[in-house]
Amino acid sequence: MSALLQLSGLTAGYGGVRALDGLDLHVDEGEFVVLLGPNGAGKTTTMKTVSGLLKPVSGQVRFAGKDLARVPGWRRTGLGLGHVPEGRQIFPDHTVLENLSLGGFPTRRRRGENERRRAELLDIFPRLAERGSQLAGTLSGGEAQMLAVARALMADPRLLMLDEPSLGLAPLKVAELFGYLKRLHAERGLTILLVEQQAGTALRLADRGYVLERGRVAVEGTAAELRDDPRVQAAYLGRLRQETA
Amino acid sequence: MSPEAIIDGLFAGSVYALVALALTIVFQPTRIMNFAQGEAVILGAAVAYQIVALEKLGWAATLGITLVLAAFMGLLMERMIMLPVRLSGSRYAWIIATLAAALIFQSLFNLTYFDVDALRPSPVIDGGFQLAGVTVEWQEALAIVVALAVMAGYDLFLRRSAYGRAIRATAHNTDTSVLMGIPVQRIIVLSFVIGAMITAIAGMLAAPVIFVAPAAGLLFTIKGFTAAVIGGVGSPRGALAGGMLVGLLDTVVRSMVGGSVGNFAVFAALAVILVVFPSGLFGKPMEAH
Amino acid sequence: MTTVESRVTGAARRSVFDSPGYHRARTALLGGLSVIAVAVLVAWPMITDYYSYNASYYNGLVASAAISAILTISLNLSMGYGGMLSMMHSGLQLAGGYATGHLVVHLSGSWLLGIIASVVVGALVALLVLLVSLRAAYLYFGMITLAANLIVIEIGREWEPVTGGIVGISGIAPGSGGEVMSKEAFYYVVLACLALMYVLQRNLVRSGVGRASMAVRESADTASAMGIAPSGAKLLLFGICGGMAGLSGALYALQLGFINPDVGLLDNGIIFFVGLFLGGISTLVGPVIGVGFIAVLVELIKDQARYTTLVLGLLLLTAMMVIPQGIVGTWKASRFGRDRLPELTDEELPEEVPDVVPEVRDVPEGTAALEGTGIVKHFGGVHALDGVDIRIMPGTVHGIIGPNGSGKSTLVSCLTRYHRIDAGEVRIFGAGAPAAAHGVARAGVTRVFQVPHLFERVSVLDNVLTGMRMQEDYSWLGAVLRSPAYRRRDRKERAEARELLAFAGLAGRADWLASSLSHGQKRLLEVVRAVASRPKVLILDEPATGLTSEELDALGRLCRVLRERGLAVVLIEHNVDFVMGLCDELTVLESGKVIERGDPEKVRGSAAVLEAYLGRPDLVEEEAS
Repeated sequence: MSALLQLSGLTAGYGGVRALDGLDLHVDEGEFVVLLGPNGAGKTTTMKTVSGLLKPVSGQVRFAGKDLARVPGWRRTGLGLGHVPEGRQIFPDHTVLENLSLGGFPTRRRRGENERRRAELLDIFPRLAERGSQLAGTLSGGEAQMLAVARALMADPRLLMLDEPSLGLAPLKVAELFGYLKRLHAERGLTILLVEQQAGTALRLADRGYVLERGRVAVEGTAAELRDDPRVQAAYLGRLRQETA
Repeated sequence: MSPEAIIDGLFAGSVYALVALALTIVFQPTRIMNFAQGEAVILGAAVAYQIVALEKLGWAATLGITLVLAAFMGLLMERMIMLPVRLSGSRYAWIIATLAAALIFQSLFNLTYFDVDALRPSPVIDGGFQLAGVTVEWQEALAIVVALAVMAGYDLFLRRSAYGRAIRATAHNTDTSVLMGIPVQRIIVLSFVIGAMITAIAGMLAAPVIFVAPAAGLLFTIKGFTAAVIGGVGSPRGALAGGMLVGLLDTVVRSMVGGSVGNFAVFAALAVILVVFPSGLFGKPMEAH
Repeated sequence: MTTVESRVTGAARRSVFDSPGYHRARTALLGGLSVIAVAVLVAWPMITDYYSYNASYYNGLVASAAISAILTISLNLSMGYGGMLSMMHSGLQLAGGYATGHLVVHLSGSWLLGIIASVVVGALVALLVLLVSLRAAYLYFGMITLAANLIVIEIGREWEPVTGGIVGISGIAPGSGGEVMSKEAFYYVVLACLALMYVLQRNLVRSGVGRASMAVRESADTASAMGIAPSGAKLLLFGICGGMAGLSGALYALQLGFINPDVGLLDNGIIFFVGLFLGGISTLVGPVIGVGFIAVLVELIKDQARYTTLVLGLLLLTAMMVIPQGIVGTWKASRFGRDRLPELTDEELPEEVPDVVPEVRDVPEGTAALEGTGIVKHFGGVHALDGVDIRIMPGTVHGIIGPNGSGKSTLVSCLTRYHRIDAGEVRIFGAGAPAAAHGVARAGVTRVFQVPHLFERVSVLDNVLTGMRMQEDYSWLGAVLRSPAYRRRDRKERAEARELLAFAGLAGRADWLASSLSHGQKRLLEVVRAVASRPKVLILDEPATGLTSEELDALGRLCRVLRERGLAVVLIEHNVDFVMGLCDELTVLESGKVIERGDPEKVRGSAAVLEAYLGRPDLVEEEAS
């Protein structure tokens, strides 16, 4: 079975710091995969490299069977890669509707299609419809995150990558957001790659997961396996050391 | 202070406003203050002088040729400035590259028009008309109307078109814009081209009235920059307001005190505004590098 | 140009360009070339007199280049070392020229007096401009200087009694009381001034004053953390730059005999930028070499003089792409010119803790080293910190942990006064904390930032020396003149810095450029630099990110030593293994509140902490069903 997204031997970094060190992972069509790991493990770097914001030092990114090495970042959206970046990054001086339109920027497609898609998404996220002509900068954290997700969905991605969408949201808002993700996955068969710090929550949603440490996969398995794996908890709260200093 | 001075001020102001607009158009996606921007003013003036005063062809030809040459100049500027900036990595790269580009264009104009003091073609429409007892030259009125039209047009373009939205998005955050599928590199080229075209139009309109020396590009850049800072970088409306203020300040002070005190007033105002309102009078701060 | 003598005899590297022999040969060659260059300059009037019928022309050429070089050195100090984008240097030169012109021609004063007046005027104008624009960020500062430049020119055009208006002042000659110095003698005056200014630049840059300026250039925050007041450092440096530019204006007026407003135009000032960037910004000889290069070039194409600007512009753009660091910078970065020393094989870590490592004793029982009570901080409407209490005791390692965005870094910034707090109180050893960040550093609380802020283009040793700025008591004049007090202090500092580096296992790399260190070594160096400032409380923000396990061990060892010495060490860290193994006490933050505090065992067992990190799976099920 061929994977939708396949990373092999991916090495990347910023300046002298090596954030990814020979990373291998794959996401199959229709899967919900979660990337776990402490800060600095390379989760965000993985996503940036996949969406072309960062050039890898070595290694390969294949998406839908195509090597992305020579595809510039802005073309990857058109290929079906959606990326909701860390910290939402909505455009605060654009209205909510304008933000959505930007999500479907390659307007080569027929005019009506973008509008139809926008209407459809506003059905899914009714809160955004209420705020349609408001400046996005005035949205609350939860609404802004919804907007960021909806905006990425405008381009009709085959794979949606989300980078810590729960960051800075109240628990109930996190639950609401993850509810949407679960529905998108279950009802529309959307393939999702989720980076999340709240491992327990994320593993309830996902089919499969990876735990990254220092730019490599430390543990991988199905969600159920990972949930019971003491190493997942250890990645966040430290291993139970025999010798306590 | 005569009412004519105010008309003169509004006219000069519309020229500065157009330069200010062009500066902000280039600044937004690149975070570069383009010191070569004013050279496009000279280009517009030079084409007008060449075509109208020397070749005796019409203004229609002038407009066409100016736009084509300005677009080419914009493309060239993008290469001359962005390539060294990307390759260099020094925090001062932008200032050196834009100054070098300004230097190169300036010397090209100087070499071509070394025996010309002022690039002064005859006006598009001769004469003037009376407005409430004040004589207004047609050329001045035309410039003001064109400036208003360009501002309004660009404002509309920014707000209504997909590319306009994309340009605003790029101004906010280039990385996220890439994630939207916006070709940021192309937007940057586009903004240099649009900026050069707008500035060249300003030069074309200014040449019959204002003293435009072949080497005066840098002065126009600085006045345009002053206007942009006063109006707040980012919006055509801010550029318009800033440009008009600078133009009025310049001519009104000059007509009251005389000499180059007008320049002094403008630069002093720039200094005071930068010191007291580090984010401009109306707009958002121009984020530093 | 100096080359660091190879002190370390390590394993021979493959490349011959890294061998000590090559380094010695290079030092000799460059030294020889410099001697020849100086000799030619000194003998220049004799040479031209012998070979040319037009000696005064060629003498004037070199003198003018030397005057430009002085101005470019000043520009280099302000932009290259101070990070202050100045577009008013041609205006400063103009102001200096006016001072001399007015004094010599209108008041018939001595030319020496004129020079002094020019230096004072230049310094005053520069200080005035910087004073009103202290708050302005980098780009805006540049623009303010641009406006100031234009204002100086306009004043020159309008203030006729003093400046002579548009025509300017002419007939300025280096004479006093009727006697006028010969052009040839004045050539040596110019040359001597250039030599003096070069030495001033070199001594300044190599002293604590220069290091402080460079620290502010890299990051005002880091400089504050080392007890350096950013505004003070900027004012000092820019004032000196202004004085230098004034001097070059005085020499310009005396050399050419006239001064007019056109001298100050930015168009004329561009040549100094070209010289600086061509020669190499932030290098000592770069400005001199760059200006010399341009002078030769302009002379070569003088038959086609109208193309000069065009050639210079194209040259500048090409140079930016081909040699972005300038002639000197590119040479130093190349394998022929680099100072890199061979790597040591294995370094023995000294068992003994050097005396330089600070010690904190005699703290009254129960007094916290750093204490925050009820700290509240809003950003916009968001409560980043919502009433946080924290007590950090001396002689402990205290960890602050919590999920992303829980307010850890904000808390540290509030404790060290980088952020103004909305409510609450900060006390350092029982006393109220000073209001400014550099004041907190001077009270003994030093922090290392999450993002590395090393001074990459200077040596490892210099980085550590910068940390000692707080203890330096010499004045900038002492540094420039290399007074005995300065020399003593400098020697002692260097020895101490080497001891500290040896203790951290970085001794062999002391003379390397900091940029050539690995990421882990850089983080370690930052900690060493912070220790060099002799803190009582040391705050480390995510120091372990990206470190290898050996580097982690070195860091842990350092932290333990500091604890034994009675310091309080604060760790913000995500590497939980590292934190749990090292800390005596932990404070756990979540959404700006303290959810748990205590020893590692207690924190690890806490349900609240578990939930903060791993989320609440129960909520998802309910919502989605």
